Amino acid sequence: MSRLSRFNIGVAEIIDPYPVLYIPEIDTVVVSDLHLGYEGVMAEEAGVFIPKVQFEKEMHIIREVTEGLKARRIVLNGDVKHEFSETSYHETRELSELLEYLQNRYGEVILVKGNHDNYIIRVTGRYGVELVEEYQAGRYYFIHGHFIPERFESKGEVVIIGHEHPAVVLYDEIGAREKIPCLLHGHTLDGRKIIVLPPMSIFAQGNEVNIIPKNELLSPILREYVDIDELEVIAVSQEAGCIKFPKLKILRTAAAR
Amino acid sequence: MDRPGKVVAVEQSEALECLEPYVREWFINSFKELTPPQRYSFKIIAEGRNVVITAPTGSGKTLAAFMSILNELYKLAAEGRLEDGIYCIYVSPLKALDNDVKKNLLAPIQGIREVAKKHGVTLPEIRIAVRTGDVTGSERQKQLKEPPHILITTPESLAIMLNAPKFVERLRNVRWVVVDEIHELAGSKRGVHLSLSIERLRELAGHDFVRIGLGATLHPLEEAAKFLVGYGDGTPRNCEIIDVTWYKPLELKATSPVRDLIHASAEKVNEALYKLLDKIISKHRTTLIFTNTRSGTERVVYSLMSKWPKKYNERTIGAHHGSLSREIRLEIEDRLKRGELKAVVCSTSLELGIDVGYIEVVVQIGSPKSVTRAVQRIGRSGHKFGDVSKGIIIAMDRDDLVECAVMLRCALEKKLDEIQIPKNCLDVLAQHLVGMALNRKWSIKEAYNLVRRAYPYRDLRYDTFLSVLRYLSGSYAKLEDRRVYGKIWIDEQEGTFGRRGKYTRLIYYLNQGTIPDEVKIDVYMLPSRRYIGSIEEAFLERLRPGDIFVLGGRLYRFKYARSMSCYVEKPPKDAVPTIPAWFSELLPLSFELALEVQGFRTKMKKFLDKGMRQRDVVEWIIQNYPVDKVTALSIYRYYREHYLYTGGKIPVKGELLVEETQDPRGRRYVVFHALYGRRVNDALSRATAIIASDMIGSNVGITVSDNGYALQIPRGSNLDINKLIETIAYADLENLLRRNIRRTELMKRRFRHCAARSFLVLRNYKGYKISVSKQQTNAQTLLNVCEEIDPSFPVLEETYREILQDIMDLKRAKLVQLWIRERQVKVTVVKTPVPSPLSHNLIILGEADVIFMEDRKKRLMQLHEMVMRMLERK
Repeated sequence: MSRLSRFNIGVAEIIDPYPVLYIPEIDTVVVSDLHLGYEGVMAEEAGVFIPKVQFEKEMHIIREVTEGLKARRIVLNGDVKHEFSETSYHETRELSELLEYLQNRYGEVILVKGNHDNYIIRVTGRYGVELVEEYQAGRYYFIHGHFIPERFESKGEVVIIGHEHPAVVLYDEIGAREKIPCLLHGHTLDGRKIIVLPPMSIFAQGNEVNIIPKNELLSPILREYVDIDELEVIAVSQEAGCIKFPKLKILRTAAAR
Repeated sequence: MDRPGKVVAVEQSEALECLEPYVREWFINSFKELTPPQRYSFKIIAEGRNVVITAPTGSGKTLAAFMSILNELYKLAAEGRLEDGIYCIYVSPLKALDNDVKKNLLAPIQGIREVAKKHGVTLPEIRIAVRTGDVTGSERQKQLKEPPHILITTPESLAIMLNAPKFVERLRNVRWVVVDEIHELAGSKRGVHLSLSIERLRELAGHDFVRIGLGATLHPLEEAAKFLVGYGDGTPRNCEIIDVTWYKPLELKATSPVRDLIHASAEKVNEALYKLLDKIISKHRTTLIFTNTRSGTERVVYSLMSKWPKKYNERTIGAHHGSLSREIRLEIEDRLKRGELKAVVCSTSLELGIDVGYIEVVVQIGSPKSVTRAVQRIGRSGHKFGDVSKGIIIAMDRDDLVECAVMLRCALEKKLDEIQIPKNCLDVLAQHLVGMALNRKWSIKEAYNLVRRAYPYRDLRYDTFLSVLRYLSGSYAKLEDRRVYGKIWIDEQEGTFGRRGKYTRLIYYLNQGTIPDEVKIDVYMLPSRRYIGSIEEAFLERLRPGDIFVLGGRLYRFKYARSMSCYVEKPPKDAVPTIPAWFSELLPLSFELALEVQGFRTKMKKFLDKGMRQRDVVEWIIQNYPVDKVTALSIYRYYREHYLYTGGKIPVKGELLVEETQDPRGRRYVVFHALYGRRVNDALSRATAIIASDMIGSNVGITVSDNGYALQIPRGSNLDINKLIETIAYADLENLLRRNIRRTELMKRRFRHCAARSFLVLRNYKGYKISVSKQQTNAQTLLNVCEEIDPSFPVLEETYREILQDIMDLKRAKLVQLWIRERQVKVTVVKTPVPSPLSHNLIILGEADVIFMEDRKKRLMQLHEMVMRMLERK
């Protein structure tokens, strides 16, 4: 029914070449780390006058995926907006437009709170979007990833997080450096499945997970419940589509001199 | 004097006749006679003509400029016509110089009054004041209430004054503007910025004023003059030129610390260097040493003090460079002036005209890279006008040696390199347009005409001007966001623009100026996380986990980086650096000097071809160049070694030698012995690498130096050199470079600078200082976004311009390309099993970068293949 290409990773599919996950078993689309309002916040707070382009780019992907899949549910897995302290005028505008669009097209819109999503209820409330700290559907468990929830061990067979903004760095023979955003998937130390989503935001810097030591990872879930070296790496970029790489530990070796 | 410009020297008496009797008397009592620049300048300035005066240290330049001004001010005073208001503005790039000049003017100001009093003439006081960023608010208030007649300032403070609503009123009667260190300003964006300020001042005053430029020498002086006076009605305003640089005789010598620069270990060379420095310092009363880099300055001072602690300690020598605090620098300057120090070591910081007292000899470690700079620095020695300027250059490698020998001969022959004044800088323009909009509402045409009166903007196109206005109005943002993004409003129908936004005035005050903040990456040792020092961001980009590099003389192994921090550990015992140290501070060799060195190479090849005896060649070198015998011998051996190694292939004038080779680690290189200076080579190397990358379908590494460049290509690749050269000869260099530059680190860094100057990324907003890391984190994204919304976005255009014209030298690169195309430069290809002597420095010490293949998908697929192959091998 759709022309979207799908990249199968077993318990879910990546909508190739986007940082978007689709889970056929529960007919759910998942995206993470949209960081809406970024440019406006930067302009007003930091004096960095970035032209606003992110929202249109993210909406373009979301529209394409939404029209193509016609799924029943969408999960926004945290950091939907950017500014920590409050909800700015720029965020409110973009967020409202997004939520209104989603509300009209999905049976269920779930917003899992990330560390940037303070005060977001002022907007979600208006659109009747469900705002939660964590979310479970069937054997799938969604959480942004910036904290470890209580009784984490008992929650879901497949854990899906964002927050980390994972990217890998590789060097070729002459030393050219390439940084590639990626999705990570594999098992937690207690044997459950885990998927780490790449960010939707074009402004995300990408955390170099094959170079930094494990204790420097952003997500406590990855630090304490996962051996990140054992996760599989799928490079996700719009220029090259999804490319399956071996486990992270191989890329850690490959990057070192 | 052989080049007095258009000016005719006048007799001393005639020059003095321009002065009022009591002024004349003060002068004769104080000085007995006029220095050469004064003999020319008094009359010219008294007649109200514009003038550029270049002369070495100690030539009485300050009074050459100010005597006639003081005379006129006192004349007005005597007639009771001296009003409150600023008559003269003096601008220099250095606050220290500002303070010096004030001090030096106080003597005549008071002295003349006293002499007049003796004659029964009571003159009111002429007020003089300094206004820089260091001046307190209350002092500023005082200057507003009781304006100085002579105001001493910096380019940045002048620009702020133009927007200080009440203070501007005090500037309306300005009659003289003096620009000091014009040789330093004319070649930089700071100078461009100043040129616009002066035209804005002219517009505010509503009348012309006399412009006086002072400085060390440069070439061509006519350009400096035009830069000073600008254009009135489409043609350059008149300007006289007084050049007395060559009055001071030069005594020059190039030497090296050891007999044999190639076989002596680094340790031995250093050891010998310090011995040589000790010898020089001991023999002279005061020695000024230039090292080119700040780290070099620290190293030299440290070594001298630890080797001979009794002789060299804090009482006898000192370091002076930009990273030291202002207090420390001032203290060193004062002690130098008082003659308390035996030697001062500096990076480049003392090359400007701060009064340093008596310097007997100037020592330059390593090549100063340009004849003009060598002459300017050496001109710091010999305090009095008749004194000899004595300079010794110590070359640290064999390329240096040849370069310095040739350079000093050029200095003796007065062959200077050409200055390049940046043209049409859109970021500087954007700043001033905001400043102008803060003054009042403008007609676009009127503003455009004003801007074009500044020499660097004389050819600015109207549509380019308009694009900057549109950018400032926030045209790239949605209408409803322009209150945040826009700094001005523009009404194209009415043809007007003006100020917008409540923060704009504050943004202008806090962010104007052209000197960029540099990003420093802090380096920490693991596991203790002890702070070690800092590296440049661009260097970090080149580091890969496991790399061994040198910092502050020690080796470290790179582990990982996190935003602005870099973590390292102790390397294994006998580790060697895997990545060369970073030399971005290094100055590029001028194109003119590079061609002179080519000429020298040609001579040497001819001698070797003819089988001339060593003794005769050495003798010939000593006869023709200011070098000693040891140096001449080193030079001879360097070329002979290369000659024998390559079977007689010394790249001569009119020849481009291309060498295919590999280093001991099996890395493949194609070396271009292109002796054109780094700015030209920067452009040529990138263009060559882009074409090579397209031909072999892979990324290509480049290493660039003044003497040539090298491509590093993957082992298995097959590169057809002849086809590569043929393609370069006919390529559209500018397009090729623009296409590629945007993916480089250089672009990212320079874009941040331009974005900051254009107020696209602020350094200070609403009173908060924005960290450089925050500015930088966003530069890449900002770059991508700007390019997407408008490929000809002014800030982007300016970044390309700055890179292609100011950093690289596209113009000359095109010239070399033309030579190759027309066979004025012939290409010779040679294969060597290991790099030839002339290639060594290039491969080991050149500045490295990578040219990425354009197709990102292909790049990622290749990396993927590489990883999979690695997996199979396990």
